[in-house]
Amino acid sequence: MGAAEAASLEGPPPRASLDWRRLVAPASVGLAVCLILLAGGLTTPRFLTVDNILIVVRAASITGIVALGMTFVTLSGNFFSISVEQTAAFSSIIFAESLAHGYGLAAGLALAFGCAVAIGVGQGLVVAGGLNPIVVTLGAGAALYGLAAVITHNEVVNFDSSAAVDWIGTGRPLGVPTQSWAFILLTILSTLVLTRSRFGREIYLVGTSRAAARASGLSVGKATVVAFMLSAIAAGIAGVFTAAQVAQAPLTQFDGLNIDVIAAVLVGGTALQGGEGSTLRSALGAVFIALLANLMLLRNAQYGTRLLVTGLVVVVATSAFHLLRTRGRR
Amino acid sequence: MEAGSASAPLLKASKVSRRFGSILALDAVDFELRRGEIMALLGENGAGKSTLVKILAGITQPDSGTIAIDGAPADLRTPSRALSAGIAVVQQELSLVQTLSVAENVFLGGRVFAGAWTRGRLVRAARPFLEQVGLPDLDPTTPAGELSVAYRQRVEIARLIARDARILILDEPTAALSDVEIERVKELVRALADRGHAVIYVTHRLGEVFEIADRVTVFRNGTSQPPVPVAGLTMDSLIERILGRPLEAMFPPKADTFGDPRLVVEDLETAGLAAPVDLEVRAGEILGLGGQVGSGAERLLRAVAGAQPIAEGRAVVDGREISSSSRRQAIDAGIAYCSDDRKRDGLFAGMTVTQNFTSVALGRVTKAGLVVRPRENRLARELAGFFQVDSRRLGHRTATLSGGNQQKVALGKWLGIKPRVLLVEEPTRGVDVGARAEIYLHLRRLADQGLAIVFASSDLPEVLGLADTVATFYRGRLIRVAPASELTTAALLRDVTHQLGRVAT
Repeated sequence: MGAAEAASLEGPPPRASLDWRRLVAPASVGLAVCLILLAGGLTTPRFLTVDNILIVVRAASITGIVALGMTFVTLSGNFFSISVEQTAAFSSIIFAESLAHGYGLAAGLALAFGCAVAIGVGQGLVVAGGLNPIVVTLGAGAALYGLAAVITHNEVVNFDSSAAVDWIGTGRPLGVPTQSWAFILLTILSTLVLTRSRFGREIYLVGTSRAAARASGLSVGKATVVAFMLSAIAAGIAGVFTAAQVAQAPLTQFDGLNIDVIAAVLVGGTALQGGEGSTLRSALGAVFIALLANLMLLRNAQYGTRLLVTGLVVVVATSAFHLLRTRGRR
Repeated sequence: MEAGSASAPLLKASKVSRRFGSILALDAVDFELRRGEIMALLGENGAGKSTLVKILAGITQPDSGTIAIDGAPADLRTPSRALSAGIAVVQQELSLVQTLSVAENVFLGGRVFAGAWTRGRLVRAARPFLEQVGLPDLDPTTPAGELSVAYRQRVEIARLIARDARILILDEPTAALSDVEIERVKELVRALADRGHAVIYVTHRLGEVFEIADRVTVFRNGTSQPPVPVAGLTMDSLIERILGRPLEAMFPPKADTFGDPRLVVEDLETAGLAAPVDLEVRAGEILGLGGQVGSGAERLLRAVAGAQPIAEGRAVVDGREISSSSRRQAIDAGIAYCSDDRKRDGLFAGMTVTQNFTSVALGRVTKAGLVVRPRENRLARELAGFFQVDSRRLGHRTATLSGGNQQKVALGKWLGIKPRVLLVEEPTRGVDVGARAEIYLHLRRLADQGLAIVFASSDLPEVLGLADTVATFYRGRLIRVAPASELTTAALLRDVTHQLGRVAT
């Protein structure tokens, strides 16, 4: 009996349920999206039109799909992959080259995603071996860019495939671009994987504490490799979509994607140190960034101004989440 | 010395309250400290000790109440003001800069030297402070990172003395130390008090209280009790004060019959052991490995658990040899293992209690690669029930639990794999006295259900009180294996320190 009493005596009473700070982080990015819609709608006439929203959603889709994949890398405690922009470009070039050389659509897709998987697994293995993920992906990105330039002789790859363009590139089932369908479906799928599957749980556990994961018999290496693979596949999807849309693959078409994707993940509030966050939040983060960019464009903001504002938003959001988290832990 | 008679308190806190959200962490507590005295500050986890320490250190502020030093109100609004007021905390997590030398650390952030400070000047200036903490022979140019924990702790104390701290707060100073090092810390604390420093000594090891403290202040559920002289207390009366009720027994009764051998270790060699080890644990038996930090006992557990490679020899569970040195394979063979560093690898602090409970047995709560919530909740409730963790807290982050409850989660999760052997390092480190008795009881219940348990501990009364059979280790060698009933604490201490004859039986 004595022991039972001791249990009730010890420790403060339940309180985590009352902790508003932990509720703020997940809701905040959704709130930010609503706020910018409201502000934009009230101040800028062309902002809340069907055409413009479709443009925004399509723009958000490419960044968003890549951000979904990136979220796995961040959640697993591996910070970021800063080669997604180059992986997307490389995949789009492989896809375009395949079609330009007369291969069928299926073969083109298989080659593009085969390359993406190889790129992701390769980087994942090296990172799992203990190297810093930022350094590894920085190097891999430069190498991929170089390889793509060699393959294409620094020229834009054009191809002629009505199937690719019509089905993948410019199709609009139910009036919504295919890219956006993919973005929505992948957001749902990745959320289910993270919240419901064993693999998703392992990602969170590994990201929360590597040492504890190892001691529990979980494979940190496996989680890392799969996370990088998913990130590269997501980049590959972005590459194929973009190439199919315009029937060509210029080497530089994804310039700046790394930063946009990282911004989406950070604005979504996924913890840099891993183990906390969700793909849904990253998806909303991507929508927010796209809305912000679009609104500034409509208001004729200069490129420099847009870059400045986006950068500031990322810094402010990251600092705010950091403060919420550290205060919430006290 | 300055003004103030011997009996007037140097530090006096009156009616101090502090609320964190819905919790009243301190409820109008009183606390006093005299010059040159060692005051033990005791209480269960969550009783309010650390909140008071944080207030005195200037880390957090009271909502109400007054704190006076030498009769004048003290300004403790920031850590640096607390330090100027003469109050310094020796942190549990030591805060030396590893790459700087000992002398540099002693003066870090403190005294400003007039003119250029040279290495020689710094070294000469550091010497007296190092002497005061019993390190006259330590070369002040040694990088702090090369020192052992015990030495670093003393350099840290030297640093606080160098900054004129009159009131030193030691928060569990012996938690990470072995018995011999603990003796030295106690001597040092005594010496500091003799030189006029007042010491607030926070500890879970009640034995230390009787050895060094002058008076005791007990906190319970955020309230304080008036200080009492240690001379008028017994161990039992002290425990009753802390718990607020009598404790029937610290240790559960031992087993009298055992089953077949469960874990057999044959000629096992691994890093950290100086000689091959043979050991055997039977079903229903608790084997205690007694030894100081670095004795090899914990290395033996790590090797059997697959956390470090077995160099020679073998470990056999229920007749099946454990083939490789990976945690995964050892877990599959039914070997559960809790390291001594719960914060580092025992818990997923940011995850919920439920997710921690099921983290090692994901296979049991998943189907076709998907987590089955009802199964997960059922397993978590079952484990929480066995270890008496409040089931209302299953959805909370594990980091919000007290040390005792965290340890129960760190241990309890392993029942999820239906283990055959449970290996535990330091089963009650950082756990208060009430939760401690509970953990002993649970371990015994598990053994009674047929589990074989091996634990390593540097706390000798714990080894003797909990184990059926004791194996002692000294510098990587197994010294002897004997039933606990045939041993005394003194005999154990001789084994683990090899100071033959120095300790009276």
